[in-house]
Amino acid sequence: MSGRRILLVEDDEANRLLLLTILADVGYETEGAATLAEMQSRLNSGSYDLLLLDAHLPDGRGPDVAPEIRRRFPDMAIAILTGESRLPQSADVDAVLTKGSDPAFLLEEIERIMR
Amino acid sequence: MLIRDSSLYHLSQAYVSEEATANLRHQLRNRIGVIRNASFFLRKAFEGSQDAQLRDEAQIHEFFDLIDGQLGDMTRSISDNVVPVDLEGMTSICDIASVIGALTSKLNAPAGLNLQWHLVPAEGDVDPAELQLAVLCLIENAAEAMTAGGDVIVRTSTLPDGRVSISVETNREPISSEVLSRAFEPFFTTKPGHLGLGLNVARRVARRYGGTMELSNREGEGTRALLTIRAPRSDPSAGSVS
Repeated sequence: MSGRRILLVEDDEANRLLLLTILADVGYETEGAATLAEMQSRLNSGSYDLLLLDAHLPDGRGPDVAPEIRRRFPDMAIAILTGESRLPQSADVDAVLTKGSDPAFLLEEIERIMR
Repeated sequence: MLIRDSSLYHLSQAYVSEEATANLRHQLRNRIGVIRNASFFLRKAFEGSQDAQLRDEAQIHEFFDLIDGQLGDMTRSISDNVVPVDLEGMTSICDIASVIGALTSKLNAPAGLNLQWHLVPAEGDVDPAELQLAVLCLIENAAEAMTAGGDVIVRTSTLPDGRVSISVETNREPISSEVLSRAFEPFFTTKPGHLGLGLNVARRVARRYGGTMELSNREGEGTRALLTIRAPRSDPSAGSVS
């Protein structure tokens, strides 16, 4: 995990803080954004191994921008974080992770899609 | 209430109910996620503690198991029992102007509200009832903000790229920037007794048809709610990108 960078895009402040803390605790380098606009700014100035993207953001939906992100950054893994239990997985994302799931499972999935 | 057509009324109730449920599911999962993640982190901190008495305290481990078990049960319950309802109807190629024009016989305009229809033929691939519901939400939203009456103008047009545009314009006073920024926040409303989901329902319908939903102040005077849907026969997987 050392050296691998994750960008978390999550507008819920408490969720963002806790996920960033958990990810940093296991050795990832992490950055956070609260909106798609902030995400674009960070993607334009940095490189990441994984984009963790909330499905519902104040300025748009994560799944709607995933195809464009995939085209621009084909080597970056993309996972959608959702509060919906039935969000279908498209070819443009590597995983759909449900909020409220066991954090240990989330970490396993994150490790899996970054291999 | 503007609606005088019972099937449209029941459709609106179903959409509002599903929108409310979807938002509550989302909020519940967010809150459960926060607690579960915090518990996970704290448990790791305890298990790594230098203080053996604290680290090995059985009741602390029992309580962490309790928290995780309860939250896990709640998450599964949401997945199993609070399931999305499939409201999507059958679509067909139709004239959007005719679909929306049919609303005139399904609405009771309140006294003082001057409802005008400027409907230009425009082809779309939609479920007519669903699109009528979306436009109804926008008309209701406008009417409820104009308690002293005024003009509400419904327009249709085809955009240069083939998308269909449906706008509901008013001559009311401008919406404040604070209200505009929160307009699509679920359950946000400036009208007591209202759920605050009408714009969300309209946006859900727009997104289903690969389109967008915006609310803005018009230059000079009034407001505009603008709903677009993708051109008929376009690739349905080419959804809108915000």
